[in-house]
Formats: sequence, structure tokens, C-alpha cells
Amino acid sequence: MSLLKKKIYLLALATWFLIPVGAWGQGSMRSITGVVTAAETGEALVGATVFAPKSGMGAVTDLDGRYTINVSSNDNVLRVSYVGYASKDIIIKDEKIVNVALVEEDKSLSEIVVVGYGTQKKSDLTGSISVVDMKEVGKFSASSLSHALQGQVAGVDVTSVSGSPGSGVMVRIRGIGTLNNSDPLYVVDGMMVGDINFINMSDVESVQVLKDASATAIYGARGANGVIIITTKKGAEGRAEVNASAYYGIQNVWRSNNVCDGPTWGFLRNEMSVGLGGNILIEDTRTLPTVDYFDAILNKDAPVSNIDVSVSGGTDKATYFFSLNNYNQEGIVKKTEFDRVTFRANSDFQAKPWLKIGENITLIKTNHKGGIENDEWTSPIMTTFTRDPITPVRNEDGSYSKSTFSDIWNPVAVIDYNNPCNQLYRVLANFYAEIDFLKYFKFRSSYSTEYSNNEFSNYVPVYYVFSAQQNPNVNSLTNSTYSTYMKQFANTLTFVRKIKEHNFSAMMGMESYAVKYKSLQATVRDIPSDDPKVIFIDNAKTKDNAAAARGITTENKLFSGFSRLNYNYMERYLFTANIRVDGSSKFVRGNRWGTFPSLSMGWRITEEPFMKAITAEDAVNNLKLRVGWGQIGNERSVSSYSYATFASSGANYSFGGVFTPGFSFNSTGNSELKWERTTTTNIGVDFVLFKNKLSGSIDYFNKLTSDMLLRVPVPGQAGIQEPPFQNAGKMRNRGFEFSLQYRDYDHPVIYSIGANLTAIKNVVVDLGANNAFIDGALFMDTANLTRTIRGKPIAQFYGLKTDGLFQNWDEVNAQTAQKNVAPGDVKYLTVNKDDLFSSENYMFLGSPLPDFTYSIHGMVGYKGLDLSVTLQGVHGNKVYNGPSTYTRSTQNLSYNYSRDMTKRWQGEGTQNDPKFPRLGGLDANNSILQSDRYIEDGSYLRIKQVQLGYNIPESLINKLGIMAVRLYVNAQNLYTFTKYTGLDPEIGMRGGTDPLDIGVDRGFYPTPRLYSMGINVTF
Amino acid sequence: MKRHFTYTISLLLIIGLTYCNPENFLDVDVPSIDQKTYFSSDETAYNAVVGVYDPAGWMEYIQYLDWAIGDVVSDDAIKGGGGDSDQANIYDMEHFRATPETSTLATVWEQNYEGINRANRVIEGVKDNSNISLESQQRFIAEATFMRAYYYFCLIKVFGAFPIVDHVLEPSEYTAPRNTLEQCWEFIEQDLQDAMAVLPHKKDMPSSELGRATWGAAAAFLTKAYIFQEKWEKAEELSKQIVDSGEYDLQPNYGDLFTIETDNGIESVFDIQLKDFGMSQWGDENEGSMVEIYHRSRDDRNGGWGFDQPTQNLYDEFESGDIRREWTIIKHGDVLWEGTPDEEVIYTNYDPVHNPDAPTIGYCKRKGTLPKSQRPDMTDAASLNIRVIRFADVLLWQAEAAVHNGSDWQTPLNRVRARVGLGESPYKSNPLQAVYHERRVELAMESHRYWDLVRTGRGSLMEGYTDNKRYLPIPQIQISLNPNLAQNPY
Repeated sequence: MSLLKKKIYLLALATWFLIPVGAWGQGSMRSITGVVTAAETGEALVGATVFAPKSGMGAVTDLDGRYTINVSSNDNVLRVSYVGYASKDIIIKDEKIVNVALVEEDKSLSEIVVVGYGTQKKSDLTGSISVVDMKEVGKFSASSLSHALQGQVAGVDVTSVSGSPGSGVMVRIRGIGTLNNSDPLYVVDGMMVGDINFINMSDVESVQVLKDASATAIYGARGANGVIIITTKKGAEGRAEVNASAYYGIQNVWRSNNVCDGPTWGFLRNEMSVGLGGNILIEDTRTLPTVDYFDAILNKDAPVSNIDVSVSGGTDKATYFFSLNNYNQEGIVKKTEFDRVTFRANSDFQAKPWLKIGENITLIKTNHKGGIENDEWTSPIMTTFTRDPITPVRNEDGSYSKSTFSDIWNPVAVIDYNNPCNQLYRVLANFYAEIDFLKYFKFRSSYSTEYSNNEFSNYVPVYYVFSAQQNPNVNSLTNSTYSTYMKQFANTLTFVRKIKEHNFSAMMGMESYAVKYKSLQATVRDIPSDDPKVIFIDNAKTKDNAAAARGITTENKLFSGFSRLNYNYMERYLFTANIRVDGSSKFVRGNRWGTFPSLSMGWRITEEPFMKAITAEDAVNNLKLRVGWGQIGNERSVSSYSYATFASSGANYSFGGVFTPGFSFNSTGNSELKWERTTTTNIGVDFVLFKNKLSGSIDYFNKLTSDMLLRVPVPGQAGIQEPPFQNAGKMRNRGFEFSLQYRDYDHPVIYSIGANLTAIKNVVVDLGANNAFIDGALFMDTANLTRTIRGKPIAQFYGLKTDGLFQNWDEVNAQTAQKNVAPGDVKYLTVNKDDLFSSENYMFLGSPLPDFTYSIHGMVGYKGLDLSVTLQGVHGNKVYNGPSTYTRSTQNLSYNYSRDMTKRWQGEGTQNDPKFPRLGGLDANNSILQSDRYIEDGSYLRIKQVQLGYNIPESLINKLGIMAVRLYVNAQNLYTFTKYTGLDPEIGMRGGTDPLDIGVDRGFYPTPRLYSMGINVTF
Repeated sequence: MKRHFTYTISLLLIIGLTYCNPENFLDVDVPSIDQKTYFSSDETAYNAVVGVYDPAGWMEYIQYLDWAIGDVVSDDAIKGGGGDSDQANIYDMEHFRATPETSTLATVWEQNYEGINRANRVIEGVKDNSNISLESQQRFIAEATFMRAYYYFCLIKVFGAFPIVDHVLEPSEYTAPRNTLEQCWEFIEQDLQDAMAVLPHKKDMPSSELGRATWGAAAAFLTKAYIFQEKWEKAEELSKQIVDSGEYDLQPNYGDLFTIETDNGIESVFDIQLKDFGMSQWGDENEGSMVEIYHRSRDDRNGGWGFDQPTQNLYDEFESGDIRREWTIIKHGDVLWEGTPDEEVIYTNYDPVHNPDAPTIGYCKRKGTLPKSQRPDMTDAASLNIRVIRFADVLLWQAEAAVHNGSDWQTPLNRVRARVGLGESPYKSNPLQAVYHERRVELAMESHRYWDLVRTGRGSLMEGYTDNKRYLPIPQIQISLNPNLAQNPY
């Protein structure tokens, strides 16, 4: 391989020196001849295509692999391609004979996949593992890899927790597996890390997603929610390669908040007032001004930029890789921004023939500013919906205004007076040594450590907007630090042996993992100056008597032993077994050890002799059946010390008007806690058909989480504020995953199209004895919007069901449940006909989880040009439109209204959609928060990515010593098809952590639309 | 050579791993104070005693238990607020259609037992604990015992009989059934008697301790327990003892009673302490009160939420010339704190511009309404105590018991009337009516009316009341969790 590379390199070099002689010669024709062979075997390739892109001439090899092509003297490249082999561009000058050796491409079969503490050939896999196409993912102008993974892999659901820069995403592999933390495990170069936001996307070599138990069981107690393994780039033997890339883009909202302008608002408000029995409030509404609050908080054409440089290379004894990355993003809302600097260095040394050592070090600094978000009360996005549209943002004297009509906070002032800022410093380092001995054995020892320190600061000056929005008398400064110190030590011993047709490999190992979190926070008041230079705790008048101070250290440890056995016969019958034993510090002695086994088998049907006839015709190139079963644990299901009962401060009171600190025992520990366990069965088929053009896989899985840890309520008479955790619940996720890819690179116009689809059905099987339901998603402190009950999916919306609008008095009088209603008011479906609010009338109103998620991506290329498109969608989920609980009120004269309230009911037959009742009806009837009046279809299909790229012909750039140049323009979130009427239908889990609070729009920070252009250069 | 080296390294590693003990590695220290070691000194024990008082000041607690049932369910007040659906739970109780699902009742049940559990923890942690001085042991146990009785009193008022919990329960004990009503009263009486025997007198306490349990508070609650059980002789005897102790007196000026200045004043027998320490806008972190903003006028020029609005029925109960009416009820357009910088017009009528979402507003409650200069910036941060028992209440119990015992009821009653410049009661000829009338106007809007009506058999004065509505439903969630709990016939 490396020899071949060298040859090409020499060839390219030679060509370059010869260019000046004839590059601009006459356009006369000449012929070139040669043989195309397979690099590995030297066999002649019959029917390979040889193509000269400039002149459009082409030829096909004969039975001996020989070809003859007529080219013009303008031609400087021959493109040689053959099915199953990587196409190769050969730079030509005036040679008459060009022999070409092609390397087998056949990725789907010979590709090496990282499987956890080792690698495996993809063809030998028996578990459900998806390999992410980094070529496509790498095209995203995303702040993190996790954002870019959205829609890329069947079974992996990625949802933004917010559209603001630097915010995280919710990643769920095969559904929500537990009421606890369902985040997957991230393993970066063997290191277990809590997130992957720190990774520079250009550093990523490969990403694999381990989905079923047979694949993740090697991670035991950490693998229940799937594992995402990331391998970063390393240097390769040969010529040093320098890569530089940069892009710049601008972002904007793709939709307005769609509230009324001044005249429309005034008109509707008059109608509402009259409907309520009052007077016309504003005589001439046509002259009312319009203040667009949404516009006022936006940061238009918010820039995003990325610069990236890497150098890599090596000899047969040592390889190296260095990279430096700077990412900058401003948010589409003012004063939200994120920037990151990442530096990575790694090297590997073959110190002795039997000893290899290396290290991988990453330094990261991020800077993150973000305000109050997704909060139904005072967040700036929310109040742009609700504030009346005629009060100007500022008073005449320049101070911020109070709304003339309400106590809604001034959103621009909220942004102006809050200055939260997070700075994160993070170091990850890994050192390893590998010893080969006794021919078949390899011992690897690896030590990893992570140190991170997050510094938060918020300064709130003295300000006064109005009585409810002010920080009176003294300013305040909060500083906090949150640091993490992680150590991971792993040792593995691997044995690989092939005896005739029997292939064995075995691995055993141990791992210890310890992580410590330290937090420290202080708030002081009264800093004598607003000058940013002096905003430090030391300058506060109250520094010796801090308003609030907090700090704690917590610690988790794991100790594990594990083993894996692979066996296959003729690469036809495949067998894998894993076992891992984990001990965790989160449980007491006696309960802390869990054993997690898995078994899986594969059958490569195409390797069977009876398939020869079919495989020979290239109709079926590969067909594999996989079956797997396994049990895995969830380590993050419970907090560090749930087994202990301890005193908590904060149970304070006052005596004689003096603050008196108190302690209480709010929770009770449960020393009987043990691991939460997930059992997965997986059946899958992988196939490659029609001359390797169509490939794909289908998987069915059944994932049952048992001993699920949850706080089962205990009778009130126990007097326990927070009931203890118990291993009580069960949850099931069943589903299908399909992925399909078709590609045709046989013609000058190359193209590929791929799609994936995931359908998951979640059911809560058990919530513990006597635990009828769990309510979640508290909204406005009054209504729980979701209910989780045995036998139904987690966190369905729950409340009253609307049945259109009352059209006339006959309909009103025909019912008895709703009091004080009139035609035009919302009608509800009732079981109990006497009392609307009877619990019998509350029903399930749909799930915030989609029925299925899907994505489609296509690519078409011609010569140096390529165009790629990615569509991504979810279907069948419900979203609670929080802003509309204000803006579709029928009684409130002080808020702004949704523009579509112009469609309100105005008489019999004019409207029957419960979203738009008559104006002037009482909120007691029309604005019940727990009802489907505010629940909308959250399905969407998004044009996630469109990129047009151009690779400048090598002939033009090779003279400059440049290997490759790619220029591209890019659009992200170009258009979204959805029926949802809010800012954005992609509403994740609240805070990324609460599985009972999904799909509730509390003025969600929308995902921006981005246009960018960029350049990649390789020297 | 090379190979031997490799073997040695590998062997050492394997041996090393075998010998390190994973169990020790996995034992981590808990960074908090464990229950077993918590009660290590007088100081820490005292902090846990403070924690026993803490639930009494919780937002839900003081809000729902007190005015929502005491005033709103009775004929003294309506719910108010922003329409019927605003705090619909209270609306349901007001109209005697509470259900086991009424969530505010669940809160009452849970939070009282949380207080009881904290009291039991202190009693168990302090008793015979050699780390704690004998003197402290006695007082802390007495305080915890008093607070336990206080929480049980709250439960018995609302639900009637309850499961008696007198120690920290093991999970196997979580599902005990309710005791009989007699056993429950007996338990409360015993706790209060035990506490009385030890607790200090208010007059002997330094001002920095005001608010902690006293002999007078325990005696007054015991009197109240006797009154609820119609043990008239014991009630008269004990209330007389409190009056004769001379520790308490009426605040000379009735209007001063519900101000921050008279917190823990001469008339306070037991106050819930509510003080703002500027800590947080929401939640328990602050020790302030939300009661004030709840009942202040909802008109946006006054800035409150307009709950707990007095009825015309209550307004009409006052004798003409009784100044207590204007200190209890605010009419539309009344000017408060006239001539001071806090001068404020109170708007209590429906007004589509300033008060668009409260069509029912009529009167507002004046007791406990704070002037602008004392209102907090944050909603739960009013620094005004709640007078749970004040001296006038004790005097009127004495009068009521005396009526039943045929002894002198007029002296204590007239002492209450004399403060507001009134002479003998117009209902003098019907002593019981005189006492009932006096209790209603003297203690109006102080969360007593509902229980005064039901304990005296006058529940039918409330529209929709029937005798089975005496006790509110046991929360359904509690019956699901403990199937041994019998439901009330609501």
C-alpha cells in the first residue's frame, strides 16, 4: 500500500516537473495504452473504464486488462475506475504507456470498524454497528460533531436542546431507554468522556455507533444507551500533508414570531373588550405604530467562521499529527455567542519491534454567552410574543420602557442587563503502550486523564425598568467554577490466531475509572463601579459577607473486568461473545457488582457455495444475517450517594426577625439499590446488491429496561420529602431501522442517494407498586402537561380534549359540563357531563416522541463539481405551543396576539378550529393549559444541508505545489416544511435532561438558517 | 532476552491487578453529614430543631391551609384572583366539590407529615444523646413535640383522624391505617401537655428567640384542642390560666395588629415567622411570605393578585361604628396610608383596562396589606408574620367556654370589645350568639371562620355545605399508596 502511494507521489512529482514543457501544447490527438490491474493480486481487471475528462474520450479494458485511449494534448488527467475499486486520477504528460493498479474499495466489506477495545473487519461484525459517513458529516458547518450527526444514522435521534450557539443536543440511540439519564456513552480514542462538544470536526477520522447489546456489552454498565466511538486522525507514513480549511457564514431566523402589528392588535383588542362587556378601547386603531420586539432582540446576519490547520506525516518508525482550530459563532439573538480554540497533537512511535507507544493530547478553550432561554415567564424570546406591539422599546429619554398595558418584561432590557458568561478550559490526554509477544499476543496499557474547569460569571447592574423588572439598590456578581478530574486506566490482552479455516480472536482486560467533580460558587453585591475592568469579587463591598456561597466535591468510581471472544469459520459463520463485570461506587458493597453478558451470531449467506451462482452474476454481492442478545447496565441512572441518608442545609427559619439556619433530612437513602439493566435482542440483515451499487441494512430490536431506578412515591405519612430511589420500573423500546444507499460511479456523472428511517415504539411497562403515574412538564407552575402511566409511551401530553367550537346557542345549551359559555367558545369532549374539570374528562392527547424519524441524502458529481443535499425529518410527534397560551388568549387585553387570531370565530360556521375561538370569551373556558387547544403537529421535513462544491483540477494547482483545493457554498436549514405555527418545531428535552418534559415550546431558541462559503486546501 | 523482559512486564502487571482490591477502590466518602453522626452537639441539634419549624413557613402551607379553607370555603370570602380557573383547586373547595384529586389537599397532607417526620428525627436524635446537654435535650424535645402537635392540629382540622406517627418509620410501617379521632385528639393533647411542662415562658425569652415555642403557645393550642372537642371546663380553666399569666395583652390599637411592627408583639401567642432575607424569588429558599401579594388588589395600579376577597355577608356582620370593619375590608376607591408617602388608592372594581382578567372583584382584604415602602421587590418576600393564635382568640375561647359552663363570659368578651371602643354586645341576651358574632368580626379574614362554623354545628350557613363535608377528602394519591387509609364521606 505505502509503496503504491509512494509511486503515485513520485509520478505526480515527475509530472509536475514536466509540466512546463508541454502543458500548453497544441490540441493534437495522441494515443496512450496500458494495463489496469488489481493492486493486491496483480490480476488484470476486465472492463475497467479509462476516461479523459477534459476531452471526454473514453476506453474500456479488454480481457487482458489492456486499454488504448486517444487523448488530446489538453488532457492531463486519466480517470481510471472499476466497480469495487477506488477510482484513481492519473496525471499524464506525454507518456505513451500508463499502467494503473487499482486498490479494492469495497468499503462495506473490508472496512475496519472500531468496536471497543479493539477493531474488527466490518464483514465479521455480528452486532448492530453503524459507521458514520464522515465525508458527508464533515460538510456541515456545525459547532459540534453531535449537531452534525442529526439524521446521519438510523436509530440515532439527535434533537437540539436549543438553537443558541454552543448549546448541546439530546442524543438518543434507539429511543428513551429509562426515566433517568439516557445519554449514550462517548468514547474518544479510548477515553470515556461525557460529551463530544469539544471535538474539532476536522480532526475526526471515523465515527461508529454501537447500538445493540451485543455491540455495547463490552462497555457493560456504561453501554445501556448505546455507545458512540470516535477516532481522531493520526499521521500516516509518507509525505507530510498540510491541510488548511476555512469557512465563513451568516445566520438568520427562518421564521418570524408572527404576532400582530399595532393596528391589527388594536382592532382585535377592541373586539375583545366589547366581547367582555366593555367599551371600544382605542378609537382609531389604524394609526397605531408597530414595534417589532422580535426584530429588536435579533442579531441579524450573525456571523459564523471556522479556521482549521493540520499537519501530519511520519516515517516507518514514527507518525505525528497536529491541528489547530478556531471556531466562532454569534447567535441569532443578541448577546449569545460561542467560540472555541482546539489544539490537538498526537504521535506514535515504534520504539522497538515489539513495543509501540504514543500519546494523544487535546487542549480546548471555549467561551460561551447565553441568556435566559426556554422559560415561559420572562425569557426574551417568550416576551417578544407577549408584549404589546405599540409600546416602544425605549422611552423618549432612552431608558427602557414598561409596557403601557401589562407587566411583561422588556426583552431588550433583559438581554442588556444580564451578562452570563461561561469559559471552559479542558485538557484531555491519553498515553499508551502496546507490546507484541509470542507471535499471537498483544498487550496494551492505556492511561487517560481529563481535567476541565468551567468558569461562570454573571454581573447584574443596578437597573430599573419598572417595579417587576428591576435590580434595585445594589448590583450583584456571581462567580462559579465547576471542575472535573478524570482518570482512566485500561489494560487489555489480545490473542489472534488463524488455524486453517478457523479464525479466533480473544481479548480480556480490566479498567478502572474515577471522576471527581468540584464546584464552588460565590455571589457578592455592591461593586462600586460598573466598569467591566473592576468587576471582581475583591472589589465588592460585601466580599467578607457573601450573599451566597456554595461548594461541594463528589466522586464516582468504576472498576471493571471484561472479555470478548470472536470466532468464525471461513468468514461464513460468525460468533461473538462478550462479558463485562462492573463495580460502581454508587452502590454499597454487596450490591455494587453487575455482570453483563452478550452473545451474537452472524451468517454470511453469500459465502455459501450454493450462492456462488448468484454472487458470480453480481446480483448479490453480500448478504449477512445477524442475531444478537445481551444485557447491559446504566451507570448514570442514579446520583452518586443515593444509598445514604444525610442532613441537608437550607431548612431555615427566622427567630426574632433574625435568619436562623436549619438542617433537615429530606430524603432517605436506599442501600439496596443496584444496577439498572437493559436487555436487548436484535435481528438484522446487511446486504450489498447489484454490482455493489445498492447496499443497506435492516434491523429489528427489542430493548427492555428492567430494575429501572426511579423515585417511587411513598405514603405521605412517612414524611419523606424526596422518596428514595428504588429498582422498580420497566420500560420497553421496540423498533425498526432501515438504511439504504445506492450509488453509481460508473459514468462521468456520478451520483449516490441514501436514506434511513427509524421507527420506535416506547412503552412504560412498570412504574413500581402502587405508583399509578408520574406527571411532568410543569407549565406556568400550574399545569403538568405530560403524564407517564403504565402501558403507554413515556410523557404523553395529558388534558382536556377539544371538540371544535360552539357554533350556536343550541349547541351551548345541549351540554351541561361547561358553564358560562357562548357560541364561539371552545367545546370540550366530556365523559363526565356535569363537571368539565372532573378527572374523567382528562385524556391522553398524543406523544412528543415521533412515530418515525428519517433522512434522505443525495449527491451528484460531474468532473470537479459536486452537489449534495440532505433532508431530515420527524413524523407524528406533538408539540405544545407555549407562546400561544398567551397569544391566543380570548380574554387578555394586555398581551399581543398571534397574527392568525384574525381567523377567530365571528359567527356560526366561520371557524371551528379550537385554536381560534371568539374574542371576549372567558379564559376559564378557552384557555385551559392542560388541553389540546395548544398542542400541534410537530412533524417536519427540513432541507438540512445543500452544498455545491468545486474541486479545482489538479493540473491547475499542482504547479503551485498544492495537492487539492475545494471551494464550496453551503446552506443549512434552508427550508422547513411543517404545520407547526411556532418559531421552530425542533423542540428537544428541557435542559437536555428531563425525559418527562419533551416538546414543550417555552419560547424555544430556534435553529438558524445558515449560508456559508468555504475553502479546503491540501499541500 | 527481549522476550523474557516482555514476559516479566506482563506478569508483573497481571499480578499487580490481582492484588489491588477493587472493593476498597470503590468505597468513596459521602460529602455530607450522615444521619448517624449528625446530632453531635447542641449547635447541630438546634439546627435540626430549626428545620422542624421550617415547613410551617412554606408557601403552599400558609397559603392553602390558612386562607383557602379558613376564609374562602366559609361565608367570609370568595376565592377571587383571575377568574374561576385561577387556582381552580380552591374554587372547587369553595363550592364543596373538592375531590380526592384536589392537589392542594395532597400538599396539606404531605407537608404536615414532613414536619412531623422532622420532629420525630429530632426527638430520636436528641433523646439520651450524651453529646447534647441535658438542658438542651429537654427544650429541643419539647419544641419538637410542640411542633408535632401543631402539624397534627393542621391535619385534624382538615381531614379529621390520621395515622399517628410518633417515630421515624421503617418502610414496613408506611401503610398504617388512620387511628380513631379520639386517639388522635388524645395524642395531640399529650404532646401539648408534655411540651407545656418544659417550654419557657414568653416573658422570660430574649427577643432573639421570639417565635420559638413557649409555654403560652402550647397552652393556647391545648385550649384550642379542648374547644374543638367541646371540653368546656378544661378549656375555660386553661384559657383563664393563660389570661391570668399576664404575659399577653391586647394591642392597644386594633389597626396596628397586622403590621410588621407588631410581629411577635404583646398580643402574639404564636406567630409563623416570615422574614425576607433577599435570597430568591421562588421556592423555599426565602423565608418571606406570599400571602400579601395574593390578596392585594389585582388592579394593576395596586399590583396584587386579588385572591381571598371579603363577601358582602361579612361586611354586613359588623355593627355600625365598629372600626374593625375598615381594618378588615377595603372598598373600591378607599385611600390607605393617607397623607404619608405611601398613600395609595385601592381599586377593587372590575376594570377592563387595569384589571381585565378578574371579573369578580368586589372587596379586598385589608388585614396584612402592606404599604408600598414595605412591599418586597420579590413576590414571596413579604416580611409579615402570620398570627396563628393571638390573645383576643384566647379571650374569646374563655368567653365561649364560660357560656357553656354558665360562668362569667362577659368580662373576656367585653375586654375585646373595649379595645375598639364598643360597649356591651348587642347580642347580650343570647350569650352564644354574642360570642359567635364577636369571634367573626374580631377574627375576620384570619382563617378561623370555617372551623368556627363546623365545630359549632353551624356549617349550614355556608351554601352547599352538608355534614359529610366537615372533613375534606383524603388525597387519592395517599389512598393509592396506602390502601389501608379509609376515605372521608365527603
